[in-house]
Amino acid sequence: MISSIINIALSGLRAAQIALNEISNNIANAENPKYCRRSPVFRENSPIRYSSLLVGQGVKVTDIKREYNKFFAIQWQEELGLLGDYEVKKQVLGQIETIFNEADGGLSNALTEFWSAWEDLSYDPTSMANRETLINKTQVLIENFHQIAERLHQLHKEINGEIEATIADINKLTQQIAGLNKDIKEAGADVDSLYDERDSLIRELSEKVDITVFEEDKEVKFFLDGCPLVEGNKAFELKVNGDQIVWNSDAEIDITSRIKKGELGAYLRLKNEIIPEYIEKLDNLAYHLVNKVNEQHKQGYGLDNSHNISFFIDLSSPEGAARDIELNSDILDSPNKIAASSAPDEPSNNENALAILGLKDTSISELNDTTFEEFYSCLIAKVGSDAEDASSFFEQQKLLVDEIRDKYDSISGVSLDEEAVNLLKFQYMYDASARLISVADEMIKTLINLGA
Amino acid sequence: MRITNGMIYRNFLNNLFRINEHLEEDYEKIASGKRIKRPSDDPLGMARSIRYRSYLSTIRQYKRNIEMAISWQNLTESALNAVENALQRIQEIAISQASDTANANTRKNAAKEIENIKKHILGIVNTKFGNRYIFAGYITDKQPFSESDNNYHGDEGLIKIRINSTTQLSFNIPGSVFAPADGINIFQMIDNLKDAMENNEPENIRACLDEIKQALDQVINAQASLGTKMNLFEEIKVQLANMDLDFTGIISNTEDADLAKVTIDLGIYQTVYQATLTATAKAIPINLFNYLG
Repeated sequence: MISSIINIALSGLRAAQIALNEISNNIANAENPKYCRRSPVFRENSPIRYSSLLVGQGVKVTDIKREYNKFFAIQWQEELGLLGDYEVKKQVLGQIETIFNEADGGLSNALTEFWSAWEDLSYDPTSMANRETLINKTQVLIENFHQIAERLHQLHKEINGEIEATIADINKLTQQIAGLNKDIKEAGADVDSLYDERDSLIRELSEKVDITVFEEDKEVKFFLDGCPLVEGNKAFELKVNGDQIVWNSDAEIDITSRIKKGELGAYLRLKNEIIPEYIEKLDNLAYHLVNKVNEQHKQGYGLDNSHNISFFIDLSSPEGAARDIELNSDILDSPNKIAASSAPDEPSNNENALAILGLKDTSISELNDTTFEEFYSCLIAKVGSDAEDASSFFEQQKLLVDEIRDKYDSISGVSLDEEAVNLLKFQYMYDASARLISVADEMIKTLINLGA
Repeated sequence: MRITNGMIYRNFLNNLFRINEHLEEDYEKIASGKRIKRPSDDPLGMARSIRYRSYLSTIRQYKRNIEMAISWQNLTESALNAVENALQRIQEIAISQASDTANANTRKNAAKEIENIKKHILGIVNTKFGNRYIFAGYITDKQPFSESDNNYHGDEGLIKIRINSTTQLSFNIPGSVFAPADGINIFQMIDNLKDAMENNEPENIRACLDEIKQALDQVINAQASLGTKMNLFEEIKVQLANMDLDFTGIISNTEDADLAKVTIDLGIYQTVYQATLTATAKAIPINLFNYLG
């Protein structure tokens, strides 16, 4: 019996040591974001039958449990896809807003001044100063079109670079995860730190692209809308192929349209839909402005009786119009060619200038029956509300993710208070177990001294 | 729920970021005086403000158009008055020289004066505003009347300006008013009178009296219609000035920050910020380890 007391005390000492070891590990990793709290699982040793009694035989630690709730982990990982999506959109659309720079005047102001210059010209078409002013204001307007278009195209190019970089990140992550799948399977025992690492990589990947994760037999595999990215220890690469994202198994499959969320999804939407839409609208505005003004301008006569001359250089299609819009060099060289008059040899005839001014308030059927100014203010409202949506969706999504993360942390996170309590608890357990040994020691001494 | 240290730190940071964002927004509003700094602050408000700013600028342009037209009309009015005065002088001369008390000598002198008055009138009807002859219709680069003939060399062009998006008003009077096809050519009439004076023909002088009266009526009618138009222009100018004020107010309401409200908000967030810092500074360093020997 006494020797079994020593054994029991020893089992308690060992168990307390293991527990204290895990507590110190928890404390050491308290600020490690990947870390899942560990706790020892105790089991009573099988009791021994002693005559009619079952006598306890102490304790052992059967497992170090990784405190982990799979449901919260999956929820967290799934919501990250939208978080990455909105974060990228918020950032890029914020940039686009500054490109339009409406608060400080911008294109709408230049357009208003362009019409104003026509008004002044209509009052006195014979004034060279009015003609020069119109040319200047037109060039400011053109410069505004050029700058916005140029910077949108530049941003479009930069996003191509971001897509390449994101794909490279994704490929690196899938390879690392496939490697961890292999390590975990080969390690045999549960290797908690590898699980932590793999979970963290999966979360990182989820922010970049929308994936569905399955776990079976210690391995994770996941799919991007049906295409496996990782299966066991094999990672499937993605590749940029021109405008397409291809899934790089043997047959290069175009999966561009299947990527809907994550940073990659956001970049693709920006590149293929949002920015082209802005550019298209800006181009349409420039094209129809050029067309309508030219059409009317050709009807008129300049001070030098020039006739049938375009005010802007004629454009053949709306594509690229905002970049290509230019003043006709004939007009630039000779402002007298600005056709304010509806007949030759009538210097103060301003009928044609008035007709061009009429365009200002005309609803243009090609621009959804809006005036030039309304069309542009709608575009600004669209840019603004896209940016506002992205920003408020991002804030909402961040709150949601934080909430899920709090739930996840309430199970997996380290609480220093709790560890302090456990520290005391297991320290006392250790002390008491040690004390048991000295009690047993004294009992043995008593027994030995019986015969003396 | 288990609250872990990580959760406390993270929530603390999130709260601070959020409060800081509000503070930053309020500072920006106070510094710029604007509620809308970028389209996303209020997309519809921004679109409205673009439209209002464009309306306002258009209204100011219309006002400028009207002001320029009014100065042109003022000059036209003075010119018409001067022509009227000159014609009245001619009328006086004609009446006095038509009487039997006049003789060949006085009529010869009168002919000289009449010739001078004609030169004076020619000077007036060839008045320029800037570089443009005001009585030339559209052909403002050519003198509408010359001494060599009594014909009108301008056209019937009416120079119009826009006073709103649909209405155009003309502000000039073509010189044909002095030599209408179906009325009295003032210059021809003066020449006839001068000839009658030189030739000492009281009958012909008397015949001219009627024509002088018609010529005066022509000028007076032109003055009247100009006066009506000028009143209209002045009225529109007042309307536009009122619209200018209205739209300036509307734009300010749309764009400008309510400084009193922003300042109060700022005060609230500053207090919240300080309270959060104080609370966190007290809460974060504390855990059970502080109390364990």
